[in-house]
Amino acid sequence: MSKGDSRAGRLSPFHCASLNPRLTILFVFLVGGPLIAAIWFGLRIVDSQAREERQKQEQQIESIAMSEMENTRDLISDQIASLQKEFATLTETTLADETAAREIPRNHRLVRQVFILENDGRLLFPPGDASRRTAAESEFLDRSGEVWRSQKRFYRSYDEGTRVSGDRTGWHSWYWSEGLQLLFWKLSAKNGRVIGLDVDRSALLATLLQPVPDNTTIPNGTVQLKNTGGTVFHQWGSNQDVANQQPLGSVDLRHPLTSWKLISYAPPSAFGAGENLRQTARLGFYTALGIGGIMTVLAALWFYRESSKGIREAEKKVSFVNHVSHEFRTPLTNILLYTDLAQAEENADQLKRHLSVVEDEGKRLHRLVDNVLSFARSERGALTVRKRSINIDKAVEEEVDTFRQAFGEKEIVVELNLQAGGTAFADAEAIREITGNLLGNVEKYAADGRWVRVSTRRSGATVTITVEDKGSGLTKKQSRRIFRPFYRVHDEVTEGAAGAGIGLSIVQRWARLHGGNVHWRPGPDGQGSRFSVSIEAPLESKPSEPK
Amino acid sequence: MKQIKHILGLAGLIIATPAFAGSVKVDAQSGHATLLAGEKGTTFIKVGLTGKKWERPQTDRAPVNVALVLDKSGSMSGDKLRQAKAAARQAIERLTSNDIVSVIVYDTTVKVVVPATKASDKSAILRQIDAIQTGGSTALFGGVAKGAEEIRKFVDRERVNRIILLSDGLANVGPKSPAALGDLGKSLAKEDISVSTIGLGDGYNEDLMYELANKSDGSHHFAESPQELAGIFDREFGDVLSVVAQKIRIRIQCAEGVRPVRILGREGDIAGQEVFVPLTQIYSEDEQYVILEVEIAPGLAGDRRGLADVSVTYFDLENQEEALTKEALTIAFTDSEAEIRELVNAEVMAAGVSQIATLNNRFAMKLRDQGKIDEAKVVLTDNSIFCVTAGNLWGDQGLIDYGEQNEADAENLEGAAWTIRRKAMVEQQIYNVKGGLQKTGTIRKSE
Repeated sequence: MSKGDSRAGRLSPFHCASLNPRLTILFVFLVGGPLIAAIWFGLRIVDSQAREERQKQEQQIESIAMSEMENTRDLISDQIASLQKEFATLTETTLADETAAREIPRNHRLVRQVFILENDGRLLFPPGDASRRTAAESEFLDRSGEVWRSQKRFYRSYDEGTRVSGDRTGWHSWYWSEGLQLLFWKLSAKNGRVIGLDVDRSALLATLLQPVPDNTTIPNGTVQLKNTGGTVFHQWGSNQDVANQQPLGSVDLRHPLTSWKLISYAPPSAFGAGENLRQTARLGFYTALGIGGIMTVLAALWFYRESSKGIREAEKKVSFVNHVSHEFRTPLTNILLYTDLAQAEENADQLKRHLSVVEDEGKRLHRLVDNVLSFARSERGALTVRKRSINIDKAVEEEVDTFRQAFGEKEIVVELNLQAGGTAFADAEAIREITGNLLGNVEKYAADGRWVRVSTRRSGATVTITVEDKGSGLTKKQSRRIFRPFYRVHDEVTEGAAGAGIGLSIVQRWARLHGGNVHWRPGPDGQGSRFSVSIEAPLESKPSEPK
Repeated sequence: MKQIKHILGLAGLIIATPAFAGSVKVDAQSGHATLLAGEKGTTFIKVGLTGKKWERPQTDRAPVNVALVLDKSGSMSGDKLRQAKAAARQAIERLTSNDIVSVIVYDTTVKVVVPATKASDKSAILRQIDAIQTGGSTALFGGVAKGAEEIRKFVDRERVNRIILLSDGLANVGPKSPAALGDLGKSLAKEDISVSTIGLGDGYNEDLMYELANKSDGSHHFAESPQELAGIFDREFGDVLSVVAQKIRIRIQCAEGVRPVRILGREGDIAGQEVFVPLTQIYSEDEQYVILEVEIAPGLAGDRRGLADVSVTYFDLENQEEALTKEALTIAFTDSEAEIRELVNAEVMAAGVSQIATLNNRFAMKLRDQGKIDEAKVVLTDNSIFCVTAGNLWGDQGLIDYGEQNEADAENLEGAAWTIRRKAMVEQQIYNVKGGLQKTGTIRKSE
């Protein structure tokens, strides 16, 4: 339905909407409400999925971090175990004298000092006499003072020892200065003496760093080796500052380094995949929402237009009823008037004239009713062609004859050129209505041309009925619309020539049902109109003539 | 002596050996040939070790096993790292396919960019060096630990081990005290891995660098500007590539009545009468020495007593064998002070004074650290007089120069110059420990 069909049709839907604020509000609620609800639910779903994914990823990364750290812890434990073996061998050669005892720390990178305890716990070496001690030995006794003061604790750690070739060996730790200090001890099964080694803290740490990996598989992850005091001994993986990062987990080292632990960190970017997923999901959601939103708005607009179209259609139907009523009124008035006149008339000629007027008006009424019925049938889809054997030329001529009186009154010259020839297979009612409507239009709108030519022509199975006049004709724009129902070139009921606006529409429908169509051209000499209606009407004598 | 024989299993080598047996000339001397009778006396024992000129062709030098441990912390960015890379490149170019090299970089973490490998495919090594980028903190301890780990992969008594550490900042990840790094250095020295430390700019901790280098018998360099790095690397590699002996163990067994008081400058220990000093390496045509201060019980005029037995073991890289050198020192007693003066060994006395002057310089530095600027100034001024007097007395130009420098140090204890000054002082101290004052052109001239 395009603009200009009628007055109502000229207005845009929005223009219409502005005329009807309630409809606008309804429209906004119907479209906006579901959209907002969809956004809210959609975002919640997307976010919760992303959260779940992130949690899953976090758990995954945590478990990787934990197993990595456990692995590192085991490597460090192995390192300690192999040191324990190495030290057990190192203390194998019974340190007969002080010189031999002093030789060990000079050569072993991890040993800072050797000490020997008698089986009663008495310190045999370093010597009790300070003048016989080296500076380092005196320093060692100072540093390890706590160990000798609380021998009970030291002895208890004997129980924790591991047996290496008959002797118990183990570790003892205490705290001094920079932190954890470590002693190795071996309790001889032979004489109950304890030979111990003071392990150099720096060298031990350097040794423990040997099995530590350079990297972690966690992207940008960091692992730190720390003591309980928070001092970082070593860091690997990324070189980032982990001060603001959440630890993924921590693993305590095993005896004797139980106060040391491994802590793993990962920056938020390590969970980037989850975050990316969230972004992607959000993007997908917004895209879907955008498309869905546009579709919803378009559907709403379409619905809106459909409903306003319905209103327009209803308006047109009202107008149609007005026009039809008006159409009925004129012949009915005439019939009543001339019947009245006839009743009072005594002159036979005059009476006959009156009755012929009544007959003409009756025919007009009949045509009108036929038209309306046909239109109604076609609207229901019930208009059907019933072909019978007829003489087309004759049917056309009969219809022309019904107009002769009216044309005569309006001084319209009728020319006939009927050459459809022979009996054909066609619907007589259709031909009558086609011709009648075209002639009716000439009578109503082209009477000032005072000329009409009706011709028929056959080309194979196709018969063309042409009606030409010399009236005021149509503009190109008008010519494109005249076949639409309810379209009237002059849409004024009060205008001299009235009509329901369905005549040409019926002509077109009949023609199409009859396997053809209707075309308008300017009339002869470029003025007036020329309507050509083609229909399929094969000659009966040669019904199967191919086209 | 039996014990030494027992421990080293070198019984076969213990014969009366000449002082110049292998690639090292051992020269044990006493500061005094005679002491005043009837009084407790003090003197120095100097054990000088001079590397012989490498006789074989230079291409046949002892192969080295070098770990470059480079700081790539954020502060190294720009010219510092560029110059460090260039210096490292240039140094690596001097290596041959017999040498082992590894490159370790550290910031907050430690990465081995070139694991210990033969220096045959230099272009691959240099590519790794070129790719180094800065960022992060300073895990100095971890860097050295990993460097040592790389060295250990190819330990060989015929190969010269050396870690060369470059840092421009304060160690802030891992152990960071000078003592902890000193312990690490001492532990590495037992494996004959020495650590040479290079401090760049004015932001590093020279005490830490000093401890690490001194305890591991490495050297220490102060590069005030990145442009100096190329020269320092060149000198350092020059040293490493000219080592003629390593794993040097000096044992001084003091005779009865002789009390070892202290070892001046170097790391070592005194256990009863026995003094033990380890040295990692001796360079060709270069003298290192150990100064021991001893206290001697009174003797009678005309008496001659044993002072100390000195034995030096080392691995002779040129002849690829263990070597042992032994010397015995005696001391005589006299009533004639003139005779004592006449027989004084000026060289030993100058060396002893050098070490004491260095300790004084360190003491003054500590006072300055405690904010006792005036006291530090007095110590430095006194030290200056001490050096100049002794230098004139013993005919030692190095001492005189050092005296002048101490005087200049006394004037530079305050203000912005101090940070730089302190680093230069520490560099000089460690150089002195290695006998620097007795070498020519050894003073880092003060501005």
